[in-house]
Amino acid sequence: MLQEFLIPALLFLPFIQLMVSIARYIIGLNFSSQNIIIFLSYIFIFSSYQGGEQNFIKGIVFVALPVTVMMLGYVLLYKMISKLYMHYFAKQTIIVSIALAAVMLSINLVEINIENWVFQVIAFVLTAIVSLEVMSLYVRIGKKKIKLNILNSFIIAFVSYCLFSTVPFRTLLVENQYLVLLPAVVSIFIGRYTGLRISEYIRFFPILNKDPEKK
Amino acid sequence: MGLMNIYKNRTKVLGLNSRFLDYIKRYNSPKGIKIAGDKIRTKKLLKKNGIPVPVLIKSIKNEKALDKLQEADLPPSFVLKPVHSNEGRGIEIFFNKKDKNWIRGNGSKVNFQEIKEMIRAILNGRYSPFNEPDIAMIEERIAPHSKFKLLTYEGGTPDIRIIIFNKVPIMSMLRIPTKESEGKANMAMGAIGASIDLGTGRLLTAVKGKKGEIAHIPHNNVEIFGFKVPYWETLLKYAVQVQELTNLGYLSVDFLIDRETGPKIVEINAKTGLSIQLADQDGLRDRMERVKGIKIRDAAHGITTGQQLFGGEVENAIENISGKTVIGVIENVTIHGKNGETESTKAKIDTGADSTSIDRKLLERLGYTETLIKYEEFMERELDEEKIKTMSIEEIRAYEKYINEKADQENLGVDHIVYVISASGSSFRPYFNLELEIRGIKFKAYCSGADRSNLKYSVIVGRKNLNSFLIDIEKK
Repeated sequence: MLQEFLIPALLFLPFIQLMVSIARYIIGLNFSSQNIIIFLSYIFIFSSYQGGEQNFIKGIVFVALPVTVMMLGYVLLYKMISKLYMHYFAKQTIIVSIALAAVMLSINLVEINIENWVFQVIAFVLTAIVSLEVMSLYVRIGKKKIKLNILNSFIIAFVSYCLFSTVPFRTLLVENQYLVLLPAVVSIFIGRYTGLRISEYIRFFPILNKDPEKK
Repeated sequence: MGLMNIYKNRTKVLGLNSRFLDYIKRYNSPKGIKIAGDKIRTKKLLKKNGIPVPVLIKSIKNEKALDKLQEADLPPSFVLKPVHSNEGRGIEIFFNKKDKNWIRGNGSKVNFQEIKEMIRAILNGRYSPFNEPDIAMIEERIAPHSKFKLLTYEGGTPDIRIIIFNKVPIMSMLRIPTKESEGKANMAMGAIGASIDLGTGRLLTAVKGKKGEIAHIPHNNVEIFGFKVPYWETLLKYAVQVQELTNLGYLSVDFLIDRETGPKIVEINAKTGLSIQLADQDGLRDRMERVKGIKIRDAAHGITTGQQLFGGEVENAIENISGKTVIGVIENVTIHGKNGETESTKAKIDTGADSTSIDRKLLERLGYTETLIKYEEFMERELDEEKIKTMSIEEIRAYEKYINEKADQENLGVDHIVYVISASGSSFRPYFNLELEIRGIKFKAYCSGADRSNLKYSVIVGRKNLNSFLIDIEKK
């Protein structure tokens, strides 16, 4: 059972990256960090493993509560201490400590079972890392841009998670492990795509909708 | 049909995918991209080659240099910039220092310590790609050209962006700061982007932010269309020169125009934004494909090519509204003569003249030699010049009628004979009903034949024949 979960999880990375490519180059979703999407996807995946099988809802609950709480906690704490006369990494350490304490509190609130502690620990570590990434992104791009940026990252990670949660997909991946090359093949086409992204059809609609014969 | 339009236009608009794979990767060398990404390096290169840039007052490379920075080192007005940021991130304008406080671009007051914190954020890499440690530069604040006073929101300075590809200016816009953009010429923050006609340097369409089309400046209702950007030809020249210096095949050059000293280049971009297409309401990709592969000899050739291919949009707009064609003071005219003879020559468009006049020699080339000889013999025989000198205007007109009747009887081939009173002297002149053509517009005109051998132009087109045209005295 563990093997049926672990092998697809291991082989799933190229598929997440394929999702990232499709989201960026075909759809035109805006996000600044591919790492955030990969970490979020794996947080979904690892936190959903319970009692020898995957629980789709559990992954969503974990991301909806501890991850969101930690991300918001980091950003909020950064806002509070950003004006302190201190070095940047020292500020980060303070934030990580306090935010993790907040996460422990949220875990106790939702009573997450830690029976599958290895995956839970991985999910927690990834949550801490992704929250740090989000905080540094917040510092870099500011609060106006980060909202949409993170929302898009959540959407891509969630779609990836949905794909992973499909039992036939996981079974196929276990039985045909070289299927891991499929994203590489698809990427050859995506990597050479020079057409407009779906979001650009919306952005440039006033120009695209002009009568081409009319000067 | 909307969907059909979108399908047909999809290859005209430049998107991010095509920008990177088709243009940046193919035409921009890593060395050129590095130069464009470093504002100090750009400044040094341009200055060395005689292209004006804002004066660099100070660069602060690390915390040690920041500690040494004194309040007295900062002038009353200046601009703070990260050396490696893009899209205008981290750029702050400070001006009107009073009682130890500067006014910031957004109107708030800041003191020296607060400015030091902003510099520290730059040094820590807050605005640099990948948050790498950066350098802060302090440069002179450009006082905007007086012509921009009506357009811009207080404290802001409009900038001009010109996109160059293959040494040809492709598209350009004026970015006008607004209240929403906090005095910055940043369209993402709500600045106005107004497209500039490459041919004339006049403003055309405009958008506020990255969407909404507008026709007037929001805070004072000044009309945008038709406003002429000063130093237009100089701006184009500098932009093309920058491309030659940096070896970037596709780039944009940003200018500010100083009240006293004129245009100065503030930034060059190897990965230029695409919003200019919204301001211009046209696609970049189509324009770039049109100039791809053209052998451009030098900057002048590049500018002429760009102006001829993509200029004249102001005229198009005026022509669409008025239904008339815009022409210059000197135009090429094609005259259709007898037996299919045609001649093309430069003509002076003269609204001071009543009718069109053509040189005798040109009329001969148009097949009127025999007619002119007959006319001259007829006039020598019939005209009593001494008698005319004593006549009143009414008597001359009556005599003119008599001459015309006689000419008809003798079938001279002249359409009309008219006594022309002009500043250069009064005389009888033969008139011919000819077909003329200017900029593809054909029209019939009664043209007088005269000796214009000592004049610069063998044809002048008078106001009677200019009903289909509007004259732009700046048009070449």
